[in-house]
Amino acid sequence: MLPRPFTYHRPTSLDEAVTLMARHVDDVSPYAGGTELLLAMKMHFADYEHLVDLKRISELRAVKRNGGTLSIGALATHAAIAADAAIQGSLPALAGLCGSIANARVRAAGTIGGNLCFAEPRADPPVLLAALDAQLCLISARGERHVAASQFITGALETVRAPDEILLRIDIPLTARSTRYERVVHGHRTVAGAAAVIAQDAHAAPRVWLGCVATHPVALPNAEAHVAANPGVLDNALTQAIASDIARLDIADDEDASADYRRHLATTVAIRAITATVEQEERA
Amino acid sequence: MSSIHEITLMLNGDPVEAAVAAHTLLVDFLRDSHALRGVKRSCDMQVCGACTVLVDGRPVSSCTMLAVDADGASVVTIEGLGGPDGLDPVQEAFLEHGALQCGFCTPGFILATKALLATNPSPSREEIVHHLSGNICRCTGYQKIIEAVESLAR
Ligand SMILES: Cc1cc2nc3c(=O)[nH]c(=O)nc-3n(C[C@H](O)[C@H](O)[C@H](O)COP(=O)(O)OP(=O)(O)OC[C@H]3O[C@@H](n4cnc5c(N)ncnc54)[C@H](O)[C@@H]3O)c2cc1C
Ligand code: FES
Ligand code: FES
Repeated sequence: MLPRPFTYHRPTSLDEAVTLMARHVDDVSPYAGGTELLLAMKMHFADYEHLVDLKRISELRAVKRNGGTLSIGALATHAAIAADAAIQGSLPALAGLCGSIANARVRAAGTIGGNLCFAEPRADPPVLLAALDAQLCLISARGERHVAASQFITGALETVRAPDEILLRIDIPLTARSTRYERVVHGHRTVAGAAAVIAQDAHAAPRVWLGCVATHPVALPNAEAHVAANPGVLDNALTQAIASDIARLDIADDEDASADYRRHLATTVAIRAITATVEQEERA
Repeated sequence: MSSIHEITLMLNGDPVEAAVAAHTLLVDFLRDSHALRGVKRSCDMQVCGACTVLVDGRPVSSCTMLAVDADGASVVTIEGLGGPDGLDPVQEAFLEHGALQCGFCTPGFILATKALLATNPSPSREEIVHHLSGNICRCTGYQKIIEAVESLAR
């Protein structure tokens, strides 16, 4: 199918893009790789009068390391992130994930910002970015604001982004010593994904996040508390802590997995992610 | 009404100027306006790879890209490979290894292979399988395709 007709705008500066978003706020969508947006528009699930193409604003692609922070432009593609030496060196878990999701064509066109802003319930990067306590920087005519990745997505296809806001970049504090994302894929999408992060600072709490299971990524607080109290211990109590977190989630049957099977997979990926960080800690 | 845009691009090495409506998909622009029928539309959702073309060397699904996005870019379809002196080495390798049957998926596989070899001239078997995993073939069982690509690895 074809998308319905629309007006296409191609700003070459951020100022111009912000102005266009403000002017057409009633019926506008930012447009990046189009791998989700065009699909939704072709299927007539989504329909906009105006698309503002962000791809010709080169500053939105930049990847920079400023001291202890890694900044990734929202328009960086999965392929660019996977191939970036700074990201491979400082955050191999993210480079590895972006090099393995979807297929080579989607990785070449799809951006990390588009992945976050679409908030597809089966998206992987939001889970890892929440566990890493990344901060998102958004801009509109009202100015810039920062939102924690862990609070950005609020439901299936729902975020706190205002209709005229553009995601500029993702700032990731490089404070982790061990990081792992584990997932199980069925067909083209992940059915359960978990991220575990152990900080360099022994006083900072470990973070364990789960995604692709409920409508959006969630923390597993009992698992986090167990890991904090029993570092390096992989026992039955850990499995029970994870299971108790997962029992509280609202999980539905879908075409990929029954709710019970998905709970089982969720527990499995969480254990795998935590186990991998324990192994990394032992090597460190 | 869609907005109309003047675009210029290099299409299989030749300069092209065109006016396109914003909602025109690249696959339709190539097939309908330029009779490049080696570009196939099948799944229409970026899963099968039959519509693969190279845009500035990167493999993309032309079924889910706007024609206006190709403005200023170099686009290569299967028709752009080889020349009067013969086939492209990737095409030769597919022929030699019997890496095609009906041929519907072949343009996509060959262009995906070109993109792989451009960034990684000596891919391992594992890297080949990973890179081509987004292209679907209903006939060959993939084995001969992988062997053809392996034969090109330096
Ligand atoms: C076959 C297939 C397999 C996939 N497999 C996976 C997978 O395994 N794991 C996974 O995580 N994902 C997967 N994906 C999803 C993929 O990661 C996303 O499609 C991609 O990252 C979206 O980025 P985009 O640039 O194409 O976004 P677009 O389609 O351009 O935009 C998506 C949404 O985000 C908005 N948007 C985009 N950029 C910005 C910005 N800078 N500021 C504000 N809003 C913005 C748009 O308005 C739109 O609503 C898959 C997709 C496909 C088609
Ligand atoms: S038709 Fe485009 S990927 Fe299948
Ligand atoms: S040769 Fe027929 S689909 Fe691949």
